[in-house]
Amino acid sequence: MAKAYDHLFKLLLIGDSGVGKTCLIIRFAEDNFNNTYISTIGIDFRIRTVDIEGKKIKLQVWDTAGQERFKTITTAYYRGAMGIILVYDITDEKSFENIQNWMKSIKENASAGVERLLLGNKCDMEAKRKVQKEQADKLAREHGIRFFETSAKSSMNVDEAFSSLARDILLKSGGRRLKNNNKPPSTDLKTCDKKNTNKC
Amino acid sequence: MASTISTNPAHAHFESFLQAQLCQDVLSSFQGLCGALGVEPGGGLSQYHKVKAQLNYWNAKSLWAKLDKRASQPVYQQGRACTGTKCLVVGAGPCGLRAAVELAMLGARVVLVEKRTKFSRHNVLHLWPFTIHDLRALGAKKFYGRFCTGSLDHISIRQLQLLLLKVALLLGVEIHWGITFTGLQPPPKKGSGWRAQLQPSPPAQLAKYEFDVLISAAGGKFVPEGFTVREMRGKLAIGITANFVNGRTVEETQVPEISGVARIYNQSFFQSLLKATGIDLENIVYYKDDTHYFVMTAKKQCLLRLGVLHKDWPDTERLLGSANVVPEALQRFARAAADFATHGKLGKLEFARDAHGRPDVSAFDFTSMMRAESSARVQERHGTRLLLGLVGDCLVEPFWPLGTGVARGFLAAFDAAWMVKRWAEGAGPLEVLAERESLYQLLSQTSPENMHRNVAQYGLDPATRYPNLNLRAVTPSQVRDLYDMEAKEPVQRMSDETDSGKAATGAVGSQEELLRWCQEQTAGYPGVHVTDLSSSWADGLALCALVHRLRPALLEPSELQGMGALEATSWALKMAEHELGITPVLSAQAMVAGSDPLGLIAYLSHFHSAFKSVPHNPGSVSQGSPGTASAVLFLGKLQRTLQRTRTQENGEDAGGKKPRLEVKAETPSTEEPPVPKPDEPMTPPSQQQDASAEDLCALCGQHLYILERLCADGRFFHRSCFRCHICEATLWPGGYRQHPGDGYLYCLQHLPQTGHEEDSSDRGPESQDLPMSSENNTPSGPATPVDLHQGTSPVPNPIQPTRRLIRLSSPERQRLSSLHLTPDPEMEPPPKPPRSCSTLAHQALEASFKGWGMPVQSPQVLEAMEMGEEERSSSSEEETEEEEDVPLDSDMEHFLRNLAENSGTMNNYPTWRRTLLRRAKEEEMKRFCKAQAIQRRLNEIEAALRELEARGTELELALRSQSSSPEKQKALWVEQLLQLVQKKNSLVAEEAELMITVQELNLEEKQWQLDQELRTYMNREETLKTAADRQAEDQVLRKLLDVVNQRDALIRLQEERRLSELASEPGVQG
Repeated sequence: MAKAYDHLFKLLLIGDSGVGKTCLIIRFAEDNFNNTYISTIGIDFRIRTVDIEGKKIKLQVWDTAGQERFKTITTAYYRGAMGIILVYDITDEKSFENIQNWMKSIKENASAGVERLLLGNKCDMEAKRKVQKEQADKLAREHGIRFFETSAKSSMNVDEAFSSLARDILLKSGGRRLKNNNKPPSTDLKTCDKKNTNKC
Repeated sequence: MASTISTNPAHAHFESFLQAQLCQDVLSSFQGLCGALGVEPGGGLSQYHKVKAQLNYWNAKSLWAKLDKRASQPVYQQGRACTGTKCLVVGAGPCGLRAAVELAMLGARVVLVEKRTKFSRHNVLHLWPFTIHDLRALGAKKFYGRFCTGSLDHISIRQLQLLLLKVALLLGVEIHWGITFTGLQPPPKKGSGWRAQLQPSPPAQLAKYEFDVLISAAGGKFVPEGFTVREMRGKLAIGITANFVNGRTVEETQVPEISGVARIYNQSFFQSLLKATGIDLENIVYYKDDTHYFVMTAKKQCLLRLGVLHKDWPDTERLLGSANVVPEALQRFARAAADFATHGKLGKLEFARDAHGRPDVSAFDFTSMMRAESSARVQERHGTRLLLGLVGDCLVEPFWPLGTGVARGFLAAFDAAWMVKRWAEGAGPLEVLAERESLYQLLSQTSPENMHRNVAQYGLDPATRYPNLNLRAVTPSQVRDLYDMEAKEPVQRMSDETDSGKAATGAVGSQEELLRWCQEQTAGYPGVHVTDLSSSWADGLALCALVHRLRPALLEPSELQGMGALEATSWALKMAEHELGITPVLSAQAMVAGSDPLGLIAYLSHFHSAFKSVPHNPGSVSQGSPGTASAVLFLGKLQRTLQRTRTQENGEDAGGKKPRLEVKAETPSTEEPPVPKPDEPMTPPSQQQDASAEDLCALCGQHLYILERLCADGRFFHRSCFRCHICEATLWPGGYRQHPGDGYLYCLQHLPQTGHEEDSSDRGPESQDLPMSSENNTPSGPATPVDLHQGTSPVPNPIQPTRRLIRLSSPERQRLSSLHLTPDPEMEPPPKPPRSCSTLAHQALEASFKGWGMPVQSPQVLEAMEMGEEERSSSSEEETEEEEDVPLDSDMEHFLRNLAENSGTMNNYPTWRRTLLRRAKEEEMKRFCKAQAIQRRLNEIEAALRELEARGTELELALRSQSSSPEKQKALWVEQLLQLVQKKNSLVAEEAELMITVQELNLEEKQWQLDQELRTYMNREETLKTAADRQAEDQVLRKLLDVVNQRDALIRLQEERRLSELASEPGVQG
């Protein structure tokens, strides 16, 4: 059954293995959580439709494997994304340091002008915190992007993070082309393939 | 029985009350308890408080804590919300009891009558998260320690009743057994109250009980007077339930449950079942509870073939009547199916006994499902009002394969209790009824996904459960007929079939309007002069003009130069089908010859209804203007895409990597305009000269009336002929193949395969088997679906472009054929003794299964995958549930550990796998439920279509034969016919929508299976892997990516569709 919606946005999550990308997506799409770590194989996506500014936004959220061995597979999907969420684990310094590398990877692989968002996940584990909020704030500011600390476990800020990214994309797309096709991003969608038949 | 912890006799009674497993024991121990405490049972909440006050040792206290917590929710107003209200609840099923518990918490006086005297229903109900939470909060674990400890969440009806009964008793509900409610006794005079007619004569105090609320939970067959019931009919569906004794042995605990396998997305399972046992099912579920509970939907043909049913009566009641069912055969049947589904691991499968001591297996009909038109009424006599509410089966008969289990039943019970609360607050009858009806409208759409997420906050207040709640969706003025003031006849609403909602209101309009619209659309095209709905269309130009107007991009008018009438018409018909989603009703020949004016009108009316600007179909959202055609169109495109995928799979199966090939290259080769029938393989077995292709069914050769015409790949069929040659299931436009060898049509499951006996002779023709061909070539079709597959997937070998098999991989096929069981699907195989077959199948499958957990050399095949997965999933059996204690089966743990050690996957075994499996099971369940909802709706659509056909045929006959009838009459008939055509089109569109979802499910299922398969590789020690392993792993990974890409393609196609609909809107509206 074709769902009624006004826009289709494609988001992508990247970040080191084990930072909680899949958990964030599952929390967002199904409101479920499980503590057990299951590595993602290759690539996957889930759908959730949200209401933003009175519009029904169908979000296709792509989940990527953080493991190095899947890198070539996953980077091929960057280009189709309209929003990319960079995730690190606040209890894992390395994962935060690597954000720079993921940023670079976006630059190399994603469409220019893709919306980005930084998330520090696992903020329920305050006791084990290694990455201070200020550090991340600073990093986000440097890149001119939004930043949230989230917890897939407690669902803190999860909806907010996804919604804010979707809203940014909505505003941007709305600003660029008003009526016409009412959605330029649709062209981006055709490019999730390995072959970059991008039209942007 | 006796408690050792205390000498207090009340404690002993309480302990045995908690433990009691029989209805009688519950009641007697409760009597004993009350006796020991000197408390009168049935005294409402005050009884509860008295019992509580006197029983304050630890085991009781933990229960009081739970119940108190629930009762302290503000909505109950400390048990004073309904203090003045007297309720009678009829029926002690789960829903009746659940409602009684709520009413008691509200402080109402609750009397419950139940005609039975024991709980004997073994059948098992699925539980939604909120029901689990709800029952836990009522102390489920205290009464039933095994509550929700399995890999799937469910409970037997019996256990559910027992625990709710105990809660109800504790809360002071007065319960009477063996008493049947036969009707209401209105108040004889002013000032007196409503009473019940009960049988046998009840004790005086019950007979005199006057109440102001009646909650009927007496089951599907008993709906109180005044309520009307609507029937939802589908095509014949036979359910079979079977309960086997659960000895709780180690072996038994290891057998994985099946949350549901449905044919529409997992055909291979059912195919192997059929081959091994002759049993043909639509779906099957296995829950391990107090019993081993199996429920399945069986096909009639195989029940007849296997001697379960004597005779094929058209009347279902007779068909499944006790005189027509052979109990022994039914037992054999159920046992064989259960045995196969569990790979023979459940051992001897001894039937549990039903209430009458007979083996607990039954066949039932769920072709029709009842649903009350309204959920509540108010009756008033002599100024005394009675509020009547329905809960349970008499409100909505649940459809088991949906997996709604008891969830909607509970929701309705809450809603009913909420209604009583509002009633007690003094809200007016119409207001109360309108609110109740507003909630009732929501009920059938509820699913765990669209309810409030936070199940912990669920309470009586509907706002805690339903998001986007609108209690004013139904207005008081709309429920006037539910308020029965005096003894007048209740307004009987006609029960109608499923599509009644969108009845004649949106008539297509007269022929004149159609003609005018066609003239408008074709105005200005040179050489096109539409003056009528017959000869004006003979040269094909008018139709081309129409198509061009609607989709200008499809051709340059100049291209039509030099095209013959037939050619032009064929072209336009094809374009309309492929680009506009308007399926042909008549052939190009007939159009040119003008031999089928009615067919032409019907055809053109489809354009009109799909593309005229004004929405004509206000009732149905998704079937509005362009939607009607677009769903069909979309499905067509989708099938073309997925078909390519299937061929790819086969390409892969056939071996190694294939050169990358532009998929497009494959498609045109088989392309022909649909109507002048292309050469070879399309010709059906015996017939047919193509002269009047639409007049005669391409299969049976009989006349085809307009409404009956089903066009697939350019040929016209009766819907009833368009069936699988073997299972006789009606085929879906995208889900069939014609076997080139015998020319018959098959569903994908029964399509004779290569690799069996007929092997060599088959292989050749099979490769030309291209029934979908006419859909393949869409000259201006979007390129995207094609692009999709370039990157990740090897594409079929051009030499055999479409060896389209079902989803069996080659090793699997091999194994199946090596069973030597494969009956020649063309001949109905003589019923095999199911038992021995299943044993054989079991052995064969067993053999393949041995490799589980050990490094395996060859890629795991689907079947083995399933088994492997299921086997592993038994681990989730011992997964501990949240708060409470679970008996952990150490033997099994040990067994699994051993297995894991042997397989060298020790480190990988534990939790992640359990989680994965648990999650997988949940996903599987969701898919299953979705699939079943779709299946059911498809069946209903089919039933509705058949009825339309019958009516259409009548009309058409009248039109054709009664040439002497006055013109006016004829015009009316034509109009009626057009209305039917329109209804049919919207049903077909809905069907297409559903099929799209089926494709989604298919892909999700496939992804999940591949993911599992891949993990078995990936979790192996890298150093232990052979080159072949790595290669296989790679291949699985590629397949997995491919499936993800296909899912993405579906999303993208939907998006394209949305955009094209957007684009076409303003253009058409001019």
